[in-house]
Amino acid sequence: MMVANSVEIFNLTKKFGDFTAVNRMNLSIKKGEIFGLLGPNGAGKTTTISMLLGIVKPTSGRITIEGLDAEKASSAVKQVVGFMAQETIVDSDLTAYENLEIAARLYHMPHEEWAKRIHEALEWAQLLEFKDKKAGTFSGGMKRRLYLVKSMLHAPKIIVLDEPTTGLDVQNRVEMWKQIKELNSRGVTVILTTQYLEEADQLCNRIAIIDHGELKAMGTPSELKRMVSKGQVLEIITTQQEAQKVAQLLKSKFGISSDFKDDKVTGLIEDDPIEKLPHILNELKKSKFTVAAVSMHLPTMDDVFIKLTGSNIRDKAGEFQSDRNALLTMR
Amino acid sequence: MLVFKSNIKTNIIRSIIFPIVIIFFFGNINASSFNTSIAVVNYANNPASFAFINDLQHGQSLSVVNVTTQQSALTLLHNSKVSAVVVILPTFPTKGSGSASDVDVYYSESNFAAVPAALSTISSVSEGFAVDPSTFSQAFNTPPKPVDYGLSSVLLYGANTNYKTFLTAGIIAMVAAFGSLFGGGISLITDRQLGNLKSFLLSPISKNAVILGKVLSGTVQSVLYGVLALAVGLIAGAGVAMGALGVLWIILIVIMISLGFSGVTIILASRMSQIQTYSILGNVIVLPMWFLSGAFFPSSSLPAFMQPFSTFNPMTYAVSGMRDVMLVGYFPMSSILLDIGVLAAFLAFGVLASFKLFKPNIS
Repeated sequence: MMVANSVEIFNLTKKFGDFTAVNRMNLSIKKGEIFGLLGPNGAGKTTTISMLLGIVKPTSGRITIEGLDAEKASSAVKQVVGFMAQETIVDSDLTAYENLEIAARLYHMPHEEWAKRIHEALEWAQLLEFKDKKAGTFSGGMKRRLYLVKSMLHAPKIIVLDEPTTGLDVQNRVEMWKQIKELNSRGVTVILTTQYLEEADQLCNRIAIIDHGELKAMGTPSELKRMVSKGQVLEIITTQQEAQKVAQLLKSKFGISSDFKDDKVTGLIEDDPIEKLPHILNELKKSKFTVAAVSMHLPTMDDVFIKLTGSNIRDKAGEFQSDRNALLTMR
Repeated sequence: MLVFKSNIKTNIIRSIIFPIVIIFFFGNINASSFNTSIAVVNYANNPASFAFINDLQHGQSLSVVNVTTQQSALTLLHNSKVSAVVVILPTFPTKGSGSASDVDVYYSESNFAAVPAALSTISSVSEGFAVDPSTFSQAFNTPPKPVDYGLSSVLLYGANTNYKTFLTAGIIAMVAAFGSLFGGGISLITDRQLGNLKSFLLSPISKNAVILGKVLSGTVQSVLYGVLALAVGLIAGAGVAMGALGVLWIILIVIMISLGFSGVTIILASRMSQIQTYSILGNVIVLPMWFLSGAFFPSSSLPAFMQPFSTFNPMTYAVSGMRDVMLVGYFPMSSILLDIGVLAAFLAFGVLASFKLFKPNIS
């Protein structure tokens, strides 16, 4: 059966007691794309993913994966979905080969295919020479690579990556990006969550932003940016004493609402920013404000995020905890 | 490969130290007992017999249960409800003709901690009634048959034994419970902490298969530790009266109790994230069950208000079943029905409840 969408989510709702983790979400993820799921901590990303993976039962709504109903055909769905969790799940007491052998057994792979698949996987992860070494002796990056190929061993059509690069150093992160792109080029649909907005911006074909369990916006990174504003973001670096006055000046003379923090004033110029910039500079000069630097750019994913969720992505540690607790009592 | 992962050495050492310490050291204890329950069957029903019973009750050492038939008295004895049965024959107190006896005393050494005191009281009381205390005949094989005149005492079920054998059965039950506690529950918590549980649940294998795997892991460890404890007991001087077949019965009983226990520990562990909390709670549940199961002393010597805790305790039946094959030398059908029946029910409960009440608790 040919289906255009890898994942379709209809009216998905999940409640933990009184707390609604996911509220009537509708979402479709196309075949072969890299899809980013962004949201502040506690927004319902983990819950959505858990329902997608079939380890949490939705309160209502429906998910189809590769045309299969996620609830009714749960074990068939599990064969086509791979998952890589935030933490690295490899067994330190077992060798790289044994780790993969367990994955092969868990996914009911035919016995005669094991050797070939495991060999390929180890080769891809550049771990072939370490195949009989215990995973406990591996470096963080090696373990992560082993875990990625372990999640991919059953050749899923969709792979879900939960914050794949959190905690990795820059080198390993770039390596992980490369591997994600390579997977995607083989036709695997990639669904990822991330805290790094620049990562989502670079990697994802489309992004969904969710907050309080609701879908706030969905589109390509540039669509999302245009959605926030046609204008540009203005940043003025001045002194701490004058920041407030600069903000007041922007409001009174040009009608620009801005925020200031320490010595930095940030505002959005909605109409005709290129035309307005010189006037602003003149006005600043006239008022004899100290101006250390001025910059103007298109909104970033950060701006999109803040505009849509009203918060910075790392601001909601408290809510994150409550989501965790709710998940702990699930099922 | 995965069952014994990482901590098999620690587990084996721990589970072997336990029997060594307890059987070798505490095995030498000679318990004395107070207010021992005995059953009296009075077939004479004459003033002399009433006086005899009265004298038995006099003092604090015996507590007399009046029973109408010898058969039901022996049932009480077998179920460890009483430590001895005194049968007053119709001829009492006139000495019967020939070699017939007036009073028969039946006792079983499975309650031996209380028995010596009880027997000496009975014989000293009987002296006052001119019934000659006969030589106590040991090592009678079934069926018991009174042969002596005067007071005859018959050791039921024949096996000669000591406290070490008595204790070994209890220790085997204990290490089996520990095997379940550590092999089932703790390995589940460890797997959850390592994330393995998540991988298992994400794969197409069924959730119950994961649970069953953990239950079997606990059971395999229990059987291993049970066999080790038995070996320690045999070295210390305990015996299995039934022989090799008895060992198989013991293994079967260990398998049954630990399947049930593992199920229970998995329900507990699946709701807890800290090994420490789980260990404390596990011990709080298992240790009292063990003490009340008659592992250390006959459960008949527990105070009355504690008896129900012993009756509704699956471990009691595991200990009693093992004790039958180790002390008595054969497994009476009524015991098989009761002990194995209760264990089978506990097994079914433990495993099915773990399927039903399991919480993956992964996030």
